[in-house]
Amino acid sequence: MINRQFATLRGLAIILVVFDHAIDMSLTEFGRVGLSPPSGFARGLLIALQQPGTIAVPIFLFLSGCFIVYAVNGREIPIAYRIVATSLRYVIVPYLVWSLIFYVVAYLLQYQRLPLLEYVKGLLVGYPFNFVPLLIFFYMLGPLLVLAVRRHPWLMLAAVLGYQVFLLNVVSPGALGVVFPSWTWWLSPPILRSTLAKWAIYFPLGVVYGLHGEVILDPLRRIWLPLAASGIVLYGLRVAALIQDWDARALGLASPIPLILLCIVIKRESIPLASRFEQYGRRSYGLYLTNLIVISLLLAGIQVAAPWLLPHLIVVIPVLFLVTINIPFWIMTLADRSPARLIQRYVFG
Amino acid sequence: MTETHDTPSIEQQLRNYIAEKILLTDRFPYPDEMSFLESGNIDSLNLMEIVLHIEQVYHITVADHEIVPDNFDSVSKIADFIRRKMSHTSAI
Repeated sequence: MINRQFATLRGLAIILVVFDHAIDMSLTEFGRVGLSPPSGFARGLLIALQQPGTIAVPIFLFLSGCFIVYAVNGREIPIAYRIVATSLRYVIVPYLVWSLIFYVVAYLLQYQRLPLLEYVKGLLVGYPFNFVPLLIFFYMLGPLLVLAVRRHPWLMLAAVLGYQVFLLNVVSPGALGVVFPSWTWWLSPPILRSTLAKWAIYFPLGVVYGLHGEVILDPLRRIWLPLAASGIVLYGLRVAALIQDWDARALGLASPIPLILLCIVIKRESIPLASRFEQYGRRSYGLYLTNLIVISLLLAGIQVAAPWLLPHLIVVIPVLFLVTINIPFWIMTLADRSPARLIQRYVFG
Repeated sequence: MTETHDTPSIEQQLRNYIAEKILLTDRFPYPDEMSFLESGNIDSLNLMEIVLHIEQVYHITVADHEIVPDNFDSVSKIADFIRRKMSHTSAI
């Protein structure tokens, strides 16, 4: 089942990603040029503003899970895999293009010079676009996952969630209050262990919803208020934990789940500026792949042209956000009308 | 695919829309029966664009459960779906 608000949610998610990165990279730049990081109210505010960004990748994965059901459910496995292979072209090629551009930019800006092998490793594990290899993994698993979830939705979901919780404690020992024996490391898959520990549940959740949405939707609509309340409480707890430097890793795993479920029951008509969000949503993969590069270049530009501006985060962050979300968007829109449109999907997805 | 009336058929309107807005080409180069999914020409984002487009242009409402490949996976399927919805609307 695909819902009308999904395109809107995708736009909202990419906006949250860019805002999150604008804050994160500004603070990283602070450290690099020797400025002391914000403290007190300013620090708390930045943490609170950054946290909504943690729901963005879960939204992308959830929507991808729903779409894989739309694309392959009821088809024979060879045909399903042909569809997956076709879709993956437009995921993998842009990912490689923009990863390489990012490495060149990072190299030229001189904040990252690594041996060649490290760049190859970066491409495999998804540095800096860390959810893309996970998305590719789930796409490749998709046709089989759809079959399994069709038969045993809740069992599959429970198994994936259980494995994610296990992985969280393997990758971040002590996150659950206990430390597993060292041999458990071998039960975590290379390349994907960190991203699975953060986001394993969301693509399968999308598959479950895609297959059984009509059964799930009504019960979810009845509990929208408790969902909203638990989402807000978990968000507040996570912000408080980060401000107080408490251990917030388990909260990081749990806090997006009620909000994702809430996203299912929101109607498109009740989302303000829905069509504007959808315009960004249509370009979301391209914006995701370009945003770190644009922010890096903008911060380097500020350092050269107006270094006095950098300490003024109240100006820097909104400027970074607005320029980063809009310049690539305009470039992609212009490319639509130029001869470059023929390769558009291989560049921006 | 030859049009005999001044008003373009639903299929022709869809071909024009998909060529211009989604494939970013001058003309729609495939048969009307071609599966969007199997050819890789339409992804989830494009699908939602098409849904919104036909709602606006043909004044129909698409329910969530109607967004399935049986209704949206080719030009001819979308055109059939639109006709069914329009006839249902006019019957009401």
